[in-house]
Amino acid sequence: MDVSEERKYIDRAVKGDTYALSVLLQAYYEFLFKYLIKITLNPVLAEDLTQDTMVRCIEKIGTYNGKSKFSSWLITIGTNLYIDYLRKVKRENDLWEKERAIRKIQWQAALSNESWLPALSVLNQLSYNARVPIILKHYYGYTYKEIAKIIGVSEGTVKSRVHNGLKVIQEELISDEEA
Amino acid sequence: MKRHNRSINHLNNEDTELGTKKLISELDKLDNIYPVKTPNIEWFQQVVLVEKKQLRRKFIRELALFLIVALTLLSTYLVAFHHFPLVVFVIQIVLTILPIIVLTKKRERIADETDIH
Repeated sequence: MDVSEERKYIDRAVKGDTYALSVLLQAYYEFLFKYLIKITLNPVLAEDLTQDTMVRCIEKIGTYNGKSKFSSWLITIGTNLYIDYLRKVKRENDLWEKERAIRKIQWQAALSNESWLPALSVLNQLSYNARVPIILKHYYGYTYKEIAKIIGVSEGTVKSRVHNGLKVIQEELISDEEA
Repeated sequence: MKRHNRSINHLNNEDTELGTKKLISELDKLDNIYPVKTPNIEWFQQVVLVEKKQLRRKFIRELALFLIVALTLLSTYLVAFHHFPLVVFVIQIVLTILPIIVLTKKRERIADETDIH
């Protein structure tokens, strides 16, 4: 789907066109799931959050003003739903839960003939406060300003979280290599 | 998270860049490990229709609740005003003046605290 075509579908979806909204949701389903699995590092949770994000998108499409990209708007909704989930279940510090999820990923990687993924294990140990901005900055290429808007903190805070998070990742990777 | 003897302050930009590259490469692998099966357009249309229907129901329910509460409050007020106009009048004056007094007191307290510091 090119930009002008997407614009047309967005305009129609905002006005209440069911088909146009369905086309947009289908087009962004994969993108959204891939983003959510990266920030949650939990495939089951990522799938649930993808569907919750779609439902929220259906609910809020009338308020989309086109100031940000449609993909960024979906990322903002998905990230906020993930933060809400963490607040509700208070599992962010539950190491057992996090370990279980990353073990599943490493197991699945082995089944797919991939080697051990040490950087993901370290990423999993960081809090979502650092994990989300690192992924948005270095994987998706968002600016600090855009990330600050998505997660609702100041630009300085984002910079510091990305910087410190990356240092921890590097430190742990070196430690693993030395071991 | 385990610690080791190399201080994070000793890490240079090259180290951090290598770490970032490794992270990106592993995040890419994650996409291959979990391939996404996107449902067909009919499924998405069904989801949108069902959700829109539920939103409409929710809106009607909330509107009905709002109207019931509003009408109850209004009728209570009218009945009270008809039978005890003086009491209603006094309550209204108190409810108007009370927040102003509370706000003024609060401002004075804040100003006092600022003077002390």
